[in-house]
Amino acid sequence: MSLNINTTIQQMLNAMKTEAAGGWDKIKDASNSFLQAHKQRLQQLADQRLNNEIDDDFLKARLADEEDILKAELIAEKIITESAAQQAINAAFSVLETAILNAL
Amino acid sequence: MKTKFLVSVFTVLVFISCKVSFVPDYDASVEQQIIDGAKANDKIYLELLADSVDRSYAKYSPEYTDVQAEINSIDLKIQASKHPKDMHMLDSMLLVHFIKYRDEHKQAKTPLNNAMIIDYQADIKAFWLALLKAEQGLPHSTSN
Repeated sequence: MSLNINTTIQQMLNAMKTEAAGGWDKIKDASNSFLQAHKQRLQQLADQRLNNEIDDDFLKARLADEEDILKAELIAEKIITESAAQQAINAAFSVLETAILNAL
Repeated sequence: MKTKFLVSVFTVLVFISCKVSFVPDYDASVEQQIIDGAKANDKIYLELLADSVDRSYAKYSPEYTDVQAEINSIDLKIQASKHPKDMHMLDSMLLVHFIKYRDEHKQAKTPLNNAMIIDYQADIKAFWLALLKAEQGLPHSTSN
């Protein structure tokens, strides 16, 4: 038996799209980029199970970990976005501050 | 003249207090600890892969303890920073998975095989990487 990882990833994206419904647009890019970036890793897990190098329980535990990795990556993205927003807002206020002081 | 000066000082004080803050400041020492911790954690799995004779937990226990101490130290610094919530969440996820993989090694009835070691190595690296990317993305004080 073999597994076509590209077909499987497309099926995973379809399942996410169905489940996320109205919120799909918000997570579409992050989900797609996560699955593409982890394609090799997911293929590796599948191959290991198909070759009997790992058992069902171990595979299930690692797949659950992949979900947690996605969560961790989304949290990291949130932190980076908030950091960029903070710096942009403070830079804008700094310009305003300078403009007011120069006008005094 | 004196009034103008006072107004200027007041205005500056008002705007300084207007600086928004959502996330902790970047800390170079935390970044270095994350890099060091990830390296020490990776070393455990590299050594396990290279060791085909004795892959027992007992042999690697001291190294696991060193890595956990590093994660705890990173978490302490994060919790002491302003707005630690999300960074603490990332660090906690790293710690939970580190302990999970360590305990699976400890409780394994048969020696870990290469596939299992490669999986632990890849997954824990992903948690370290998320934490490192987040730390590196925090505002650097020079750019504030």
